[in-house]
Amino acid sequence: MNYKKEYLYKKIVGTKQFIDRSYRHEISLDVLMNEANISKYHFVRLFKSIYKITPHQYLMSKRIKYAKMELENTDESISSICDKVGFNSIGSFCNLFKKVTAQTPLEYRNAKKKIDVDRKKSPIRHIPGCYALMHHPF
Amino acid sequence: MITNLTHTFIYVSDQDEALKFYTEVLGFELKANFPLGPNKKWISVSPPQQSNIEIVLMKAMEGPYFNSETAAEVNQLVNKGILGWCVFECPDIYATYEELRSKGVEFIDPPTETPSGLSANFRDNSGNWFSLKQS
Repeated sequence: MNYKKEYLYKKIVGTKQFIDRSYRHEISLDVLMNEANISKYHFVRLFKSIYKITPHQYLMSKRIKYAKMELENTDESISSICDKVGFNSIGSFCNLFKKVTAQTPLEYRNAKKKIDVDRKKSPIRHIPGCYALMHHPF
Repeated sequence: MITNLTHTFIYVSDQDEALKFYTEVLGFELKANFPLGPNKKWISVSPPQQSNIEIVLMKAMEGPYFNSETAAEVNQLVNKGILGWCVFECPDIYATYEELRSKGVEFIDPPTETPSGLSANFRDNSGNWFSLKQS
């Protein structure tokens, strides 16, 4: 890889990592461009050529991923989680969440909690048969 | 007939440390983490865009399948760093290489053109090695 290409890679990877760290905050394209220090057109084109999705799509996927973790691991309200992972409106959060997971945030949480309760009650039912035998009796 | 792969297993030296590596460094998704008895846990993760395959992070321990000697041998092989487990795919190998290196991942080989395309090899924090190929 030549020097110029390596420089651009570092910029784009750095911006992606910036999203990874800052997804909770308001992140506009301008903020990302400042971070990358390259033109808007060039930035979006390069980001998409590397990650196969736009910076906005990546940011949204990150927020949904962390929303799922919050729903699974905390009892915080949906609106609080929506806020915490960087969405401005609960409507857009719920719509996108349902589009991605085919469940509302509440349905997702309830389904995961049910599995969690069942795992605690009978962990052996949640691992493949041969490995369950390895840990028998349980 | 066999239709698909659902679980695969990697022996690690410490399950909690491995979980941190796979989720926080590689960005995998946690699928399950629950106790299976004293000092045993069932921990599995999935690559971010392949949630139907679970990689189970196992610790070789004495039990019905392993006697203590065999468990020790497996752990020794893991620690030696000679076990290679799977091939991961990424959309851009240079970007992934750059990012993982910046997070402290040890690469055995940098991205290299091979007859089957661009690939690199890295280790997890137990010493297991993996190939990374560009899709």
